[in-house]
Amino acid sequence: MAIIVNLDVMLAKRKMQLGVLSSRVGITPANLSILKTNKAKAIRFSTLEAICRELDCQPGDILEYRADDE
Amino acid sequence: MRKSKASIIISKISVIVLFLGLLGCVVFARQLSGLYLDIVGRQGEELTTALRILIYVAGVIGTILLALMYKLLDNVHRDIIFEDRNVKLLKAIQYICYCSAAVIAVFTPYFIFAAAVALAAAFVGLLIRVITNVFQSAVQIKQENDFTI
Repeated sequence: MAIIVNLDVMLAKRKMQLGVLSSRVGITPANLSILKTNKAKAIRFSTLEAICRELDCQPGDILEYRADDE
Repeated sequence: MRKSKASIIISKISVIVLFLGLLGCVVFARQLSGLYLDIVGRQGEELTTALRILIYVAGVIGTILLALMYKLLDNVHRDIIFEDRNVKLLKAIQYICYCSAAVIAVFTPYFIFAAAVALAAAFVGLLIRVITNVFQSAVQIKQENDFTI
């Protein structure tokens, strides 16, 4: 997958647990787990906005492009 | 949703009723083949045997198809709809339709109606193929939707 979700990195930086973020952004822990484990196919702007707001970061801090052959 | 569930139950009952009919045909294959040959005014041991074999073959193929259809309906009833397993079931139904068309076509020299039945089976197979293609796309769309967070 070329797009990597670094949600776990940001959660560790902010010392926040997935369950806490889940309750704050209103997304189920199961869905956030899909996002964290890079199984998601797409992310809504509203979700990205909520995560960025709660983690006080930019979309680029969460999403990263990595070429497939890397 | 409730109406849809009722419709599925009716479909399941229809499958069971059809299976019982098929079972009846297989059990009374000897009498049915004799009756048919009497009606069309044809006689002969070879024809009777051929017709009985045709009924038995149709019975086996029909039972497999009905079992697959029942499984498919059962999945839909349990809200397992746009899943890969249903695509596999549809594909199995499709291939069995094609195989049954080929098998039934073998009986055309004995009974001309076998050609019509074989053609109908091939047509149903094609129809199922189109439905499978639509279903495959729907499964893909659902998976993308499920993994959009």
